[in-house]
Amino acid sequence: MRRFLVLLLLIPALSGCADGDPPGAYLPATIRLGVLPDQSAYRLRARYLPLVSYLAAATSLDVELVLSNDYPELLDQFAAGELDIVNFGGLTFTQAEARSGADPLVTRDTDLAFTSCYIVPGPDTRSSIRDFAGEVFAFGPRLSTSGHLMPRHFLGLAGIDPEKTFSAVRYSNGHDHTAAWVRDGEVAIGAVNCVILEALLRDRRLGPGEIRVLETTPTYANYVWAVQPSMPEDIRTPLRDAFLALDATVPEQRDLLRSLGANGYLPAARSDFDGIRLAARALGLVERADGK
Amino acid sequence: MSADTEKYGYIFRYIYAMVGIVLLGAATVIVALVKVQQSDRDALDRIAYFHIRSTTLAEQLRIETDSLAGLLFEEDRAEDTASIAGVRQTRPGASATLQTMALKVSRLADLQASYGGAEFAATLQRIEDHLAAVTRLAGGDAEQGLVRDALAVLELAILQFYRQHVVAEELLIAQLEKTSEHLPPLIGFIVAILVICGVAAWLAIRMLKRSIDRRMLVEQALADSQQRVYQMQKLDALGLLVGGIAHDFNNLLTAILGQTSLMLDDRPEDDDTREGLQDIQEAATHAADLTRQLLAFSRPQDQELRVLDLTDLVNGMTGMLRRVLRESIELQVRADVPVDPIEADETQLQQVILNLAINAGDAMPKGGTLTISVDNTQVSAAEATDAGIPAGRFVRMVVADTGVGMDADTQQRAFEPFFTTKTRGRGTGLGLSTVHGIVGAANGHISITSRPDAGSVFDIRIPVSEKRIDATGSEQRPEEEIGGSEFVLVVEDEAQIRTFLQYGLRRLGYRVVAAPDADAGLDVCEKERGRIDAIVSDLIMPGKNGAEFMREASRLQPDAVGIFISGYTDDIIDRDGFEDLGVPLLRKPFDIRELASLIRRELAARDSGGGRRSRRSAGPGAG
Repeated sequence: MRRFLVLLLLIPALSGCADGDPPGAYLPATIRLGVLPDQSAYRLRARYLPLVSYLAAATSLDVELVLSNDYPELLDQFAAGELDIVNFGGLTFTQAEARSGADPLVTRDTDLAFTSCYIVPGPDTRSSIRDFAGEVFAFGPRLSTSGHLMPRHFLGLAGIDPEKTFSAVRYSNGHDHTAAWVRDGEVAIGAVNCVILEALLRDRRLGPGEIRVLETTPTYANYVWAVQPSMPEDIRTPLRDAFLALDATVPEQRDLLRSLGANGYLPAARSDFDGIRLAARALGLVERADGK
Repeated sequence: MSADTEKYGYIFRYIYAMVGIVLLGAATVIVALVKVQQSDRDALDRIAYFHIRSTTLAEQLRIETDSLAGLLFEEDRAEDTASIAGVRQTRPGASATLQTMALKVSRLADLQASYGGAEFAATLQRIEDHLAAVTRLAGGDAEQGLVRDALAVLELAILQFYRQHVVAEELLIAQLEKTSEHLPPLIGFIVAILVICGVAAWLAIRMLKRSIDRRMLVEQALADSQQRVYQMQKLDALGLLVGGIAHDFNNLLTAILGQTSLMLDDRPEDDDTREGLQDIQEAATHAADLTRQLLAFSRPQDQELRVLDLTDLVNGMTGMLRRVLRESIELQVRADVPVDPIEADETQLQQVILNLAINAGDAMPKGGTLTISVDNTQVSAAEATDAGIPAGRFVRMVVADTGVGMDADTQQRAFEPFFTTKTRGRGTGLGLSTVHGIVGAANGHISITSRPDAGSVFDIRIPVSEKRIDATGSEQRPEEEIGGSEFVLVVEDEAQIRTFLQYGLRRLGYRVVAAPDADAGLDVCEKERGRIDAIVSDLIMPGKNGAEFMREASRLQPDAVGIFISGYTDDIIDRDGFEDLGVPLLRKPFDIRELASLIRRELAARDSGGGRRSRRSAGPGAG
């Protein structure tokens, strides 16, 4: 009976433990900042070191750039607590979220309005994706958010199963490859990142009229700065505020923003990634480990 | 049993109190949890309102920023158009929008202050700064590009503020869902624990009750057993007491009866004093009967053991029992199953049956049924422990009536001497105590099962004998010659008895010399060497006892026959002390004729060359 009473008294305490922070308070000596290894180490350093300096100055925290060799290593480092804040892609964020509860912090204003473009050869006059049924369709790399994941997600929402609708589905090594395949008639239709497509056109790597945008997907969030779930508010809030305080009207910050491809930063919400999370789960790229 | 339950009631009260405390505690915890959740919900609702108000204002600011952009950059064109067309624009001016926006930013600041929204302060400050910059630039001569940039950062700050609240609200909803998710399982968990505890408590109480029931049964059995032991000890003590008293009475009655008998013999038939002497003799005989009954209770070993068949005994008594019982009482005898032999005194067993039948008759004043049944029974070790008797094979006789029965107290005292429920003058209170003594002497056991108005059942168990049943019954002695002229030495320490013996034997023709103790007796033996035919000696005497005396006397008078007389019970007499002498024992009180008869038989045996017979009890007084 006495044991039962003790147990009864322990219940609220235990439930309190379950809701509270895990034992071992988060107190990093240095904020270790990770980024997607989507460029060479040299370019990554050139791009992110000014941000590291800015954050250190704005938050009075020691900030250090930690580079990863590939995406899995980045996820492993974050899961092992070796990185405190990371700039994830949309898919890698949902993976980090499922694996180690990554919390979204801030995102570029441009990240919230990402779109993918379904492109066809310039001369083709068909007006709907369904018109290309029975022909060859090209996605970008399998793990690309804008080249594969989201275009496939929105096709699904429109009731189009690529494998059933098209005669064949091919995966390219990059958005420029997809565009080239479409241009050269190797595939009838392809999906690419609209921003990259704009750049290809701007850089004249695609000639005018060679490619036509048939449809554009709804907007979706892509990149995000996420932090460890155990990061305390007194570190999390200064970091977030430092990002939010980046002002394009201040000359030196304008350059920083430009190098980061942003006009400014916005607070990121978990719900910004609902679509991408759904798409990743549908493709089995993310486990439902977080139970969401 | 209810009293015993009450004895252990405190345990149950303790358990019920504990269960009550646990239930109360659990109810308190559940109520507290619900209240805490309600309180959390209230707080969360308040914060949610704060976020909704903030996002609403931020949304309005965003619209007004768009509107301001339109006003600032399209107003120029409008003014150009107006100047061309001479029409004045009627829509609100940019400065009014800026004022409205400043007002909203001020309301946002108030809202933040009331709700303690410190985390939004930096962003709100940026909105204020950028709004001030836009206001300043728009009112001056700044380049359009600068104004656009300022407006863009203002718009970004408003969007930041808006999204900050959206994110906070999202977290709040998640927290709310988490709280809502956790409470029901927690309450469910507590309820489940309570149910498990309840079931466990119920099982524990059941087990405890069973355990207590078992314990109470054991305690009851122990108490019964102790009561039986106490009862037996009490009866033994009473037996000892009664035996001692009976001895004195026997001595007195031997003298009274003897002298009365002699006096009656001396009186002619028409003597006036004969009637008085006969009354004395009758009263003394009645007293002797009572003493015999007392001795049957107190001197159970003093019996003539014989191997017999109890069914034969019971069946043989049927006729007599029917005469004893009134016509309104039906007698049923179930003694037709062959049973094992037992070793007992036949006469005493008859007395047992008779006593029980008489008692049963008295217990059924309005008539009823008396059932006597005999069968074999086996008492197992477990039953033996419960009943307080040894295990083994028994012949059982059950005497059951349908009479008034007995209450528990009467049952307990039923076997005590002089305890009677009968009206004064109807019972001596010795009937059942005699039965008890006789059954005990046969190494048997007797028990009563009875309830008021539900009849009584006497269950008698006598152990089975391994010996074979005697083919011959008790011998019927022919009419005897009791007188003689032989020389008899009487050694008796009680003067009255000595005188009675001396006088009585002389009257029958014997030559008698009496001695008051062993030494005087031996002197006579010495003096009358070779002339004494019979020596009658008391067994228990001051100085040398009867056995010692007889041993020495037999050396001086080897041809004399010896007879012991005694008023003591067997448990006092040391049989081993004279067993080897082969001298018969005659129990007091006895008639002088019994003694003379015994003397004659002993002398006849001596003369026929049989020598001294094996020692046995003799005469009806010994019965």
